[in-house]
Amino acid sequence: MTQDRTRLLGIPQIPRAGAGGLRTLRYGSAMLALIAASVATACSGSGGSSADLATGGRVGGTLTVAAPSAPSSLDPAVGQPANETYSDLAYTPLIVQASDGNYQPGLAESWSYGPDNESFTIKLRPGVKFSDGTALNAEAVKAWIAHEMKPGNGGASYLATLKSVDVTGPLTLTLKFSSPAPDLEMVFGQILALGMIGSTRAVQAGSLAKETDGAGPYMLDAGATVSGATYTYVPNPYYWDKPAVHWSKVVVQVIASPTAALQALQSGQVQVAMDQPVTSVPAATKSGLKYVDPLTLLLGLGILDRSGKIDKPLGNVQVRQALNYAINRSALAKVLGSGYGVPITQMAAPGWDSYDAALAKAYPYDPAKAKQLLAAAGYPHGFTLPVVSVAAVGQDLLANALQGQLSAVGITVKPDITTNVGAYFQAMSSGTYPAATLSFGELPAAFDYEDLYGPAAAFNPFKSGSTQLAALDGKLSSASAGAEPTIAEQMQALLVDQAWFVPVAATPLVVLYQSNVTGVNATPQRNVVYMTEIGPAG
Amino acid sequence: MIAVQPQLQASPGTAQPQSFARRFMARPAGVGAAVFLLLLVLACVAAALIAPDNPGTQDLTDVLSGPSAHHLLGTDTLGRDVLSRLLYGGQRSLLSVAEGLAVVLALGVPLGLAAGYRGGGPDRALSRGAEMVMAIPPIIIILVVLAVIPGSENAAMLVFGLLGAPSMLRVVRGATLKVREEPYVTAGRLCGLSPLQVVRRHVLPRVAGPIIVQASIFAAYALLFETGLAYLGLTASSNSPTWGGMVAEASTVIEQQEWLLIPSGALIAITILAFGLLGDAVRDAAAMQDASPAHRRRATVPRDAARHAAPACPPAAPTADEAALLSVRGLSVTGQGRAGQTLVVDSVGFDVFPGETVGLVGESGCGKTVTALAVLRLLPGSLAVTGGQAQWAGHDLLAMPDRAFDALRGSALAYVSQEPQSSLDPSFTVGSQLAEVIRRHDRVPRSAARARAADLLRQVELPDPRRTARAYPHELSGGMAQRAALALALAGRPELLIADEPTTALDVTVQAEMLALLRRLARETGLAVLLITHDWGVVADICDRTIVMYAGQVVERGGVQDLFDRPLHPYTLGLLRSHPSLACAGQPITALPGRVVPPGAWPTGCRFAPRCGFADDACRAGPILLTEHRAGRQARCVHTEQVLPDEVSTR
Amino acid sequence: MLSLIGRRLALSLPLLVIVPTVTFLLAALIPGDVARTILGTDATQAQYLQLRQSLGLNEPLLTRYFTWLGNALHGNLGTSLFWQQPVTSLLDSRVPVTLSLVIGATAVATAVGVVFGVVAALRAGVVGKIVDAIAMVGLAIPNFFLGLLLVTWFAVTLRAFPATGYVPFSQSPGDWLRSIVLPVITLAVPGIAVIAKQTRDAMLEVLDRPFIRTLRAAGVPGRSIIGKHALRNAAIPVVTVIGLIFIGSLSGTVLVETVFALPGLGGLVVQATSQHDLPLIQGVAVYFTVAVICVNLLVDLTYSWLDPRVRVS
Repeated sequence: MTQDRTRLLGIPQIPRAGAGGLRTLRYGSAMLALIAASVATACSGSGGSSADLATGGRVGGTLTVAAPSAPSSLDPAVGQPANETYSDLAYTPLIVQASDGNYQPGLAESWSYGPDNESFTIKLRPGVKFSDGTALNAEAVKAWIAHEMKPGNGGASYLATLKSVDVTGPLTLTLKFSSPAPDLEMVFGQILALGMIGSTRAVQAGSLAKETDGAGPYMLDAGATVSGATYTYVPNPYYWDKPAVHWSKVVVQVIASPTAALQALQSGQVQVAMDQPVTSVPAATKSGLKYVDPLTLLLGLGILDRSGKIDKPLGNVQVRQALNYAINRSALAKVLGSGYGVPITQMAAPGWDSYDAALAKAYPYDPAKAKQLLAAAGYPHGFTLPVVSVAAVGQDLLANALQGQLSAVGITVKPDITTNVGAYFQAMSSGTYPAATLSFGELPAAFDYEDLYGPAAAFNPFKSGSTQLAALDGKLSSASAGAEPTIAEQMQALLVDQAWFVPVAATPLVVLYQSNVTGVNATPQRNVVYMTEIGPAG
Repeated sequence: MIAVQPQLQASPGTAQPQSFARRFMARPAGVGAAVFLLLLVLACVAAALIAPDNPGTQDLTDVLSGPSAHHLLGTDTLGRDVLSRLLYGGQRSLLSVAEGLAVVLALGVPLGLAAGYRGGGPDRALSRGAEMVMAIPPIIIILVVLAVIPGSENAAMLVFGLLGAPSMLRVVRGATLKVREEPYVTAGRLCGLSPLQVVRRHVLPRVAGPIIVQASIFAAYALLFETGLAYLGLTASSNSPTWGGMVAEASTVIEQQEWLLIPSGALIAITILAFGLLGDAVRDAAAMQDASPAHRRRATVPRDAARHAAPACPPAAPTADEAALLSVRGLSVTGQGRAGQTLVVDSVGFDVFPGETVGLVGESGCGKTVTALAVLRLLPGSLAVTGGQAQWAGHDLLAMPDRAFDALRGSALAYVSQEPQSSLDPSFTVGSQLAEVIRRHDRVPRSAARARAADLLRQVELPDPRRTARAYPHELSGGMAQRAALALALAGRPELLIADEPTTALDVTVQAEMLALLRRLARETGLAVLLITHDWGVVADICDRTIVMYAGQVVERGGVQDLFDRPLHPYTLGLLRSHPSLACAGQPITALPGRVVPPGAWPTGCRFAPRCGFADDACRAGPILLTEHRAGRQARCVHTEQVLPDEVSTR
Repeated sequence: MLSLIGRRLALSLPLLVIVPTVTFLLAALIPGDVARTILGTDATQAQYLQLRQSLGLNEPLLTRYFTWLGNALHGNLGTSLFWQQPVTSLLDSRVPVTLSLVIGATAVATAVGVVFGVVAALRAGVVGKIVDAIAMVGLAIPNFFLGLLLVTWFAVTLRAFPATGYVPFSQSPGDWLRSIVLPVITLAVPGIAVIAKQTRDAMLEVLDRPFIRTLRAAGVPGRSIIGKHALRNAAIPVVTVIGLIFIGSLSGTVLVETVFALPGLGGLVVQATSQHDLPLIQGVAVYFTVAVICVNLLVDLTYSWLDPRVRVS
């Protein structure tokens, strides 16, 4: 349907490719973790391959996971919001990003970049079969990439410069780009999901929307699945790495309400709850639950109609800046994040790559100045601002709060709150609303451009462009690792100056889990839980 | 104890017709509801004036606080004042209810009037259409509307009103049908008023009551519906708060603040309740006349108080006759009506000896059925025995504990009523009902009970007992059903059968057969029969002795032959004279003038005096006692000598 | 018997056509563009035109209607715009949930309501008034509010029942029961009120009838009279109401399934509404209508079983 929406719920930090020292450090800590785990495994006495860092090889019964939403299509290429919970289980990616941030072989045994990063060669693991029994080979990967390149699928965002895919052997292929494509490991990793290869037969049959057909440890049991409510996965009989299958059944329950998810955890109905608001943490820890909180969600208002096509005032930068002055970020952050929120003035949180501390002083709370700017722009009596929002992750609360704050400077916000995420995306990308509340996870700056504010970005339905940003983006893709942050910060500064967004607060998003499971790993290096790592606690 | 009610009213015609308004005001629940709704509407309309805060004013430092001095009902997720939001939200909800109501009234009332008044083709078409629409679950249609026109509450309520109009149509149609045949409506038509004028002037006011009731019910449902849609977020309004939306908001923070759910939810519930109570009160006040038995107030006579109430006549209670099977002395029955307590049966006494057939005769309303029901302890809750005794085998039937009397039911005393088919349970076959009664008395296995049932049916001269046993009451003719009822009564081998007008509802030929059957049964089994009737022909046919009742009292007692030859009481005389069989060809029947005075309006003197040709001041002065003239002949009259010479020869 | 079924079906068939037709007509009036909605703003003109063609949007309204009707008669209710799956498969997987709720609620409402009604009929005094009051409140309280209250008390505070979620019977009967207790109670409450009132009215009316007096006089014990004869005759009007309660509960699932996050038809249709997924809503409309027709048929059959007078005609 539309482009990758995984932004909504958390994206990893940029691994600082090339920053050797840091890499060594991470490698070292990874080693340490490995040793520790092996020791633990040895001590617990249950044998298992050394690949099982987390669980020591025990196979548990049923794992039930609570997810706040369900994708309308199970096809990994379609990239619906929160897809990774579902895709992870049935599709192994070409490259797996481990919790330490390093890239491990998945379906690809090895890979390498060509000169100038303009080509990428993949060598596949032999003897792998999809869950329908067909074999994984270079032709299958080529077919898959073609599938990804269909309009609306992930390829358009992340493989925009792909020139050709050459099959060089039964298990080898080379991708050629017209200009350097950034971070292909991440692109083909489980996070951006382009490498989650599905069987060619299924692609041709068009069945991937409601059935799975990948090379992952599990596969969907369509008989026990109710779309939008319960998804049941059973072990994939063709999976090559049997010891890595930790459960005899995995059930994903869609539980939209955080209250309900917390109760489900407390009563033992589910063992893991993905993407929960931080407000649940105190009650959770009181009940003996654990959590990881690596994900930070940016909440703010996206001014989609920057050229003022349907809401004329928004075309004027002064108006947009007025919006930024008019809100009391610290008060909002407190309410939105239940005390854990951090006010932000840029579309990045502290610690992120493109975060520029200097920008934090950018728009102090100044309603008088806002009114001044509005008057100067020719709207002394304010104007009407329709906003589409969704009753999820606090966006509706934000929309209502903004209504109150902006009314003080004469701007009448008209929030239109959809009840589910699918409808929200439909509405937002339809181009009928000049603004939308949005929640956004962290991404490498280049991907920010693809997804957030570039002309082809999902959150840019009016396709507003900026030559300066485009130029900076061009520089970014061919920049060295060291130069990336600076360019990214420059892009951020430009965004803040042009006030394309009204960022409000950065709030944590947590994953809660019971103490009888382990492998719920999310780290600063990879702040998304990889579902297949979860196993019963020893 | 089950309350059983005979067909007659306890106190007919004694209540003053009150105005609708007065009747409505007498109902505190309805009045309270109306007042509440009025205040609510006013408060919401005047929200801008009386709300403590602006509904959108946020106070991010004071979110989710409970009730406090500054915020009477607390604050919500953005620190907004809950009370103010409720007031403003009420505007939206109440307006939506009004929208729906407007559609319902605009469509349902005229169409209902048309259907009810016109009848025929239009009525059939409209009724069919209404039935069809009423079968559609409205929620689905509304959701389609909302999918097509997202967020439009107006569209939703409009369609809801459309779907609710058929109910109003049905109600209005029904009420119109009732009113249409009233004399003044017909008169209006004949006077040349156009149908529209007739409807407007005569029909509409009468139909107003049911309209208001249905409108209240609809308003309750409309509010329920509207808040539900707001809760689901389907009619989300950007700027103004809604009650349903407030409930939805509260549901997201249950773990943090449980209170927030209460103000919005409780207010919705209370308002819906108010609409419902209002409708109920209006219906009760408007429909007094045609209230079904279920709605009539089941007033009961306080037993103790009643026993102390003095009957109109001093208790003339000679001791019970020990030779008699049933000996009733001084039986008085009082009814509880709206006007208070009314004496219905006044110190009645009589005997029934074993094997004899006694006729209890009188006009309808004289209290003969009530007397019988009193003896059988089958009086409805609004009537109670307030004096006297009924001796049976040395025990007073009226004073026995329930358990003891129940043992006598069917086995000592039996009862047959007037309506043959409705006196049997329509849901069970005749045979099964018979078998049930048999097994109650005999404690035999089913097969034996069935055999005995067949015997009983044969005994009552039913031609094909087996087929009759398999039949349902409605499949039998009147005569056959009455025989079956008789069989049921005889199943317990009773000694006394009390038969209340057993032949009145039957054809003449069937009547004769039934009477012959009764006579035969009485002769063969020694059954005593107390036969209640208004038909002197029946009395002449099978009764041995007669008791004549008038206005709640026994006015004459005696053997049948003697009574017919020489009646002692002017009333008896009048009745006999006016019997068709005594009429002379070519001459008008001498009917009794006037009508019987109803209970509650009885004069202190002789109750027959207003209609009596022999009446004088002595009659009207004070109560007349029942006096014995000869052995076995009593009459309540001081002028029997004047009656006697007028001998009427019967047969 | 067959003629009865035949007659009821003949009367109901128009309904089966009318409701989906109404929804189809309403859907056809949609101001937006279905194809555009599906594709979003990224699609090319060619794709847009192709989708319009494949959805049959270029045909005249009447042709589309008859195509849809024809498909529906063959059991094909179209494809969900949002889920890209056949409507029937989406709905079939959710029918057990909704059926559990509605049948459960009707059963509970009948059992409790009849008991309340009989008690209220026999004891006119305080007990009758209490039953009246409970009935009034039961009808007035909105089901979504009641559901939330129950969740607050029983799930949040007492932790006795799960707040949300459905466990299929095949998975664990005990857990299935626990997962539907609160929603069933929520759905049943208004039904209890209506059935209690109707039972009381019907019982009082029946107890007024002559045959009650006859049986009493013949010595049939009070227990039998109430439990067997009165109840049997009072059942007839009550059965109508039970049928209405079933249908009302169907509508009630829309809110109750949302409150308790149960994966049934009601919750689905709410989502579908906000997603403008008209084929899905139409599908639910058809399913609901079929349920209504079945219930009406069942009520009719029960009538004829209960009332011998109906059987003959």
